[in-house]
Amino acid sequence: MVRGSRRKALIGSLLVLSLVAAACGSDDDEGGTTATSVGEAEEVKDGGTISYAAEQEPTGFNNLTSKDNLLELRHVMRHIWPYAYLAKPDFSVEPTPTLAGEAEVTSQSPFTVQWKINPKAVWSDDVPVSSDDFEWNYLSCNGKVDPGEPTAVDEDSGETISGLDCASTSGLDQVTKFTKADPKTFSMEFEAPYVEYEGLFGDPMPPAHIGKTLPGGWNTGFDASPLLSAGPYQLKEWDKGASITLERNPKWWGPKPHLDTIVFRQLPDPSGHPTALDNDEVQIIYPQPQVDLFDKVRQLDGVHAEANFGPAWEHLDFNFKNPLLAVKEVRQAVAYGLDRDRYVDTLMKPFSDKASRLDSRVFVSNQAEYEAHGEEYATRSVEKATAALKKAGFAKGADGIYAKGADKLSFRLRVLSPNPLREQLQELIKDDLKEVGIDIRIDNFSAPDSIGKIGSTGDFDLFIFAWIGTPFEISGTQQIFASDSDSNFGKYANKKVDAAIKKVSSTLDEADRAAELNKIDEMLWEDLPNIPLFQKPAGLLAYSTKYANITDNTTSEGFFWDSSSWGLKATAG
Amino acid sequence: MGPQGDGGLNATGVTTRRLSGAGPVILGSDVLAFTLRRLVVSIPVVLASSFIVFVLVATAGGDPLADLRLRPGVSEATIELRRQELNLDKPVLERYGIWAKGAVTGDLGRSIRNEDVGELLVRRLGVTMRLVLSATIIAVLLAIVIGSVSALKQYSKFDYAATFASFVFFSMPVFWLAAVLKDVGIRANDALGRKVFFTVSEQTPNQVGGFLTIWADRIGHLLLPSLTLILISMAGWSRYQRGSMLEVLNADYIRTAKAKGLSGRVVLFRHALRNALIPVVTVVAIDFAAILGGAVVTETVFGWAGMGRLLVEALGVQDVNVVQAWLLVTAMVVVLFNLIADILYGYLDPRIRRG
Repeated sequence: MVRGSRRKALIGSLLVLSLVAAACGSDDDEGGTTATSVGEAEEVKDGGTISYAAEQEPTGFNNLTSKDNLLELRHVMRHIWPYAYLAKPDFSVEPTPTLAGEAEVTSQSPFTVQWKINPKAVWSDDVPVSSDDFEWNYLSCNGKVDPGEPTAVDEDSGETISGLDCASTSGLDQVTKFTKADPKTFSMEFEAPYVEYEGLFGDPMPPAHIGKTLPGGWNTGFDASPLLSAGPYQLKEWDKGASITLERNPKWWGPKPHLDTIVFRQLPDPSGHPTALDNDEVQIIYPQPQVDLFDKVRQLDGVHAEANFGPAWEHLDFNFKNPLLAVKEVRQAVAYGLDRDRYVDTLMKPFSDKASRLDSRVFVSNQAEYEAHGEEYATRSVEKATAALKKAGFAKGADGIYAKGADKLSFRLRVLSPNPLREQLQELIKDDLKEVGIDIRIDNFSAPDSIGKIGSTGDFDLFIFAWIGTPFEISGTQQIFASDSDSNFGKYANKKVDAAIKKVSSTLDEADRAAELNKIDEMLWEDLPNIPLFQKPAGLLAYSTKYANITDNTTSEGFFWDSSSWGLKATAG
Repeated sequence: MGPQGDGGLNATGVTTRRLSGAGPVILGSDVLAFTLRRLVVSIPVVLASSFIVFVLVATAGGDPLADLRLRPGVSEATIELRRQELNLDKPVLERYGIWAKGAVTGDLGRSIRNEDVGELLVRRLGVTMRLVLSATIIAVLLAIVIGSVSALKQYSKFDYAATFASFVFFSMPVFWLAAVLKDVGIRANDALGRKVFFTVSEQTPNQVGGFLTIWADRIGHLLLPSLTLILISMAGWSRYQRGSMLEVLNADYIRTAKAKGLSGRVVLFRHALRNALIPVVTVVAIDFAAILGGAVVTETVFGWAGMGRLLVEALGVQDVNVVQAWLLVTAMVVVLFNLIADILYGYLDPRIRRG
């Protein structure tokens, strides 16, 4: 029996890094950060309700379908349906009460992992949470069934399943066999070692025993109601367009939550959230951080507000298809020329003095494994930049721009517009590089063009956007830097990096894995496929101080991660 | 001679023929024929507008499934399925045909997020109706009173004050007025020591209590957004009423009525006010249809999920079925309210018998 040591991964369906959803051109990206605060447990009383200002409303309750794969719905469903692992604010993970313990690697060849379900885990109709529930999730999201086909027969189970709409097949598409040992034990075989298996079944899953026979089934069967609960809360009422109310689930076997009800009020306009909080119409908000909104909330009496570093990080990408940018010295000159500390001071410090430069591409600063690399480029040096250019044979022209023959160092720098933060960043970079002798031409694009489209077509020289998620460092690193990855927009290729990524993908030991990943980052600093700039805040958590034990969690788990311990302060009236 | 002279233009641009001499208000059969005629005429208008809007939205250049494509892990097969479900794989004309066929049978299709559009529309329209109906009625009544009194007491302190206030509210951005009112509401709550004014949505979720508690809560939620709409709408309408009233008061037939020895009350209410209401009716009919289509800013700022927000959201994701449904409703409302306005002309001015 083989087991990984301490797990370090984020739970969630986001197995691969995703482009920042909010990067699609709004002010939402503006933001800054303060350190994550984890409040000390305070005595609270049982009872009471809390209302949260939700910006999105689902059309149904199956968070695993592409139509309802919304963060706000996950906040709701994590209270109702079971899932396997919980990601904590420090990015460590632990099994939820749905499991009887840690999942275990039972074989290296074929790579096999076994999950045991808590014997106490039961749906609110008294049917046990079982291997069948996990199997239905697996069958629905393994990518082997074409959603366009009316039915298909699963080779392993022989079950006939209808076309299924699943938001993410990542991870489960690597599974070659699903075996139910008994109603509370199941295992899965993988085609290759899959060390990030704790991320599987990370989203709340629907009850199989009624879902399979429900009209609409997986895709739409849960549109009106989640029907059953196997979590701390259950649905009390859904007033469409207005609110979703949860009440305690009497059949819940885990720690009893203090609050009687949690209300998700549908308030799509975040600018109204501070006044609603001030007027006690909601007691907790989590809008995208914006300086003016943050200032407004900070002035409210009886409100605690904080913005915390998230897993989204801004970076400047190079397109290796541009022959000039394929020259290492040119990339080095850009890296030397950037005053990354100034960008942090200008753009992030308005939120918090603790904002800082990001010096890694594989870990973010919230993680214990984070190591700062690229010390060479930590401080801006125009001299080093120009020296690198001269070394590569470039000479300064009459216009102050370096060139080699007819090849002038003039590049298109693109961002998805409108995005005030990135547009300001562009200007700062343009000024810095002009001083070096590199001309920057700002050439932004807008919807319907997307970051994915511009990136995948390679229609850029330099490109600023953010990667988000980093639920699994290996998947993320592979996705961005492996030479055969579609998301390697700049077409960077280094066989040594490819080999290192492949090696770490099968390293089970956590410490070894972290060390290998940090080595990869050092290699990346050597090659400079991109330059990490800074982390962005996940959101602005603000809540009424009548409540206690609310702490932020910038992983995909979100700030509801510990809602069972939330409560009205024992001293509150 | 009436305020608009012989043969003026009504709200819809249709020339009205005014018959001299007092007569009965439009006869029942006349009203019916008139209504039917107008409704029949409106059908091609609605059809043409629905076609134009459909083509414009469907060919706007964006990708309705862009959001889905951006999400990690969504398979190509899933995206393809959604494309087929939404008929995005078909030519625009065929898509319009499918939509129109469904719309005729009452099936407005499904949204990009797979919601029943008919159900969505009914819900959103209900929200907007609750918000704008009472606000419009109050705004109209206040505008008539203030406009008329301003005209009667032209250049008085009241007239100056009303004129000043009208221009202030007329030129004030709605979102700003709403923000100010919210702030005032919260301060008032603090001063009162209880929550009378609410700043978001239509009601407190899961409100428990008796009939009075529930209605006090609903009215509390309605106060600030209604006040916003009332102040903005009333500002413009009261100016129309004032101008119209002044014109009527200076008309020959009012002088004649006074010379005949009719009491001031009869002259004011039966002769002056009645005629002066015609332009206001026109403006209110058009404005109300527009408001029902969406008091977008007010709905957004106060967190009401109404028609305006529905349109903005749908346009943002090129949800053509939702935009079409919105268009159908607002087009019908425009037709309906113009019809009501025309019928009201007949009531207000008996010389208008038929269009």
